[in-house]
Amino acid sequence: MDKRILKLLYRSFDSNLRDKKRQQLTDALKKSQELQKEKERIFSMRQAVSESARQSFLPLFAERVMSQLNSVETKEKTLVASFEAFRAIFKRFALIAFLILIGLVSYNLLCSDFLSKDDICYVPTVTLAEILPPPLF
Amino acid sequence: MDLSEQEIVTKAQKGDHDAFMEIINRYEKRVAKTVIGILGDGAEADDIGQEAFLQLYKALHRFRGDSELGTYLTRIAINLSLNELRRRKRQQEAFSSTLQGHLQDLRRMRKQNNKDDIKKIVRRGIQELDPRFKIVVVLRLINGYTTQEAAHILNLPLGTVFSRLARGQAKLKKIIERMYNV
Repeated sequence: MDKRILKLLYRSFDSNLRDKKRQQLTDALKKSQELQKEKERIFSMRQAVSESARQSFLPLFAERVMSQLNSVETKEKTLVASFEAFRAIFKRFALIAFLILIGLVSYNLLCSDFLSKDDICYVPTVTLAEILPPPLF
Repeated sequence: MDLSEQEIVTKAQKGDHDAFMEIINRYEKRVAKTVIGILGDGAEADDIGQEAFLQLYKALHRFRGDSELGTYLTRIAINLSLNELRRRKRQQEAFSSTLQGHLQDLRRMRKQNNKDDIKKIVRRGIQELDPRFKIVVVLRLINGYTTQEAAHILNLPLGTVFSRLARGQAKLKKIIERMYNV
């Protein structure tokens, strides 16, 4: 069977052929019984494919999708709520820590004669001589 | 719910679950035909179908109405189905034992010549097609999209769709004839 004509035959099922191509196919079909039978076979196969299709999922499909959706949304809400709760607790602790820090810095400032970074952070100013024991000789 | 597609989408975008349920009811058949056509019957097809709608819900806020909602949803379903096919291919195990069982089933069906069994043969035949051909055959012959619509969904040139459709049908015919003559 002519492959070119066979290609036209398949194409004829899915689109309108141009006049020249349609005429070529018509002429070929008139001349060949085999081609006519092939056309019928293709037609039957296409029918069978179309009729074989299952058109629905298992029962209660929509309900199962919504159930999954609700489950996902609940998890997301729980996660967001947990994060918000953590953030609220962290804020309180952060505020308390900040106030303690301010208190410590203020205390150190009050105890020192002048402002220095070491005094603010209470870094003790000691020398080596103060730390090391005196030499024996 | 007697609303237009645009109205339903707008409601669903705002989180209206009833509106989204309506979307599922309207498009379940279309998605089922696509997914089951590509993957065959079974629980996996059902899972993929569910996942398609869940992904639609998550992506709904990005949907601008440039294309039909059905087209958008079909694309999601096709992508998920192709991923599933790739996963199955990677997991292909004990093929010879399933093939033997498959041939026995076909012999039994051939003897009975039952209409339902012929449908099963056709479905199995479709499953044997290369994914590139399977998708166009499913969209055109099962979903009933025109070739232009199929080309738009798959983002392929029209000529490519025609070519794959012709080759897909030719291969499918051979596969079914081989199965039927087992």
